[in-house]
Amino acid sequence: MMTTTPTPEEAQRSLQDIGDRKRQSAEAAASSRWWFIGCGVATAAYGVLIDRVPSFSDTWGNAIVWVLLLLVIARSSRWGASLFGLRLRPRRPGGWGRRLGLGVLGAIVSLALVSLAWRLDVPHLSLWIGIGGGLLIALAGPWWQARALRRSARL
Amino acid sequence: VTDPKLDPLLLDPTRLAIVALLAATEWAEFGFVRDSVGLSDSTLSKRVSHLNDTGYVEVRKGYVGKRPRTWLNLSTAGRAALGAHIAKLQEIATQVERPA
Repeated sequence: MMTTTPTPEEAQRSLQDIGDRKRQSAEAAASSRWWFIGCGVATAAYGVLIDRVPSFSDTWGNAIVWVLLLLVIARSSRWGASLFGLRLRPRRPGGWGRRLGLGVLGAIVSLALVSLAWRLDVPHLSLWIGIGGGLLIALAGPWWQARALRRSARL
Repeated sequence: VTDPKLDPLLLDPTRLAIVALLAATEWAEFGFVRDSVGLSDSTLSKRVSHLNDTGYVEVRKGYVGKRPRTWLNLSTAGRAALGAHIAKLQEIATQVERPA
């Protein structure tokens, strides 16, 4: 083991290596763009289906929500992540409190927008929500992920 | 505020690479760290064992189906040591830009 104090050049090299390793972890945690496109298409298809076949929501709506919820919970555990082929989970900035706060804020804003659209009697609401949400996931998802991973590499 | 301090354990480039890889993660599989650092199972196992003994890395074992899995994560003590080490390295590195 090297026990002497590193020279300034060695210290710079070590700092560079640390940065490279952090970026390596962050890049390895990235999901494929196709994952986001698939989720976006599924969201849009769900919205279209509910609009065109309203009885589908009554029959399968709850089951789909529960399955998705279980998948999200499973994917966030070590065991479930391994099943999905994920070898690491990137560190996220902020604590659980901040994340929970942002989640609650997002839910409130979404509910407010849907309530407003409902009151204004927007036609084919579920169709537009599905297509809008699907496009958001497919187009903004990879950008959001890259941004989050860059932040985790800087931690 | 992190007190700059070189950690003798992290002066070893391989240990530093392991700790730095884990720093950007909440946890990582043993296999990911092995492949990323380019070590054999036994060599990484020894390094991780040493880091575990010093309280820098936590090791969890489990099964996914019938396959055994080992997950590693950097402990709070490990993060603090890395933070202090980086702060000291930055201090030393700036001596190139501002010679005494």
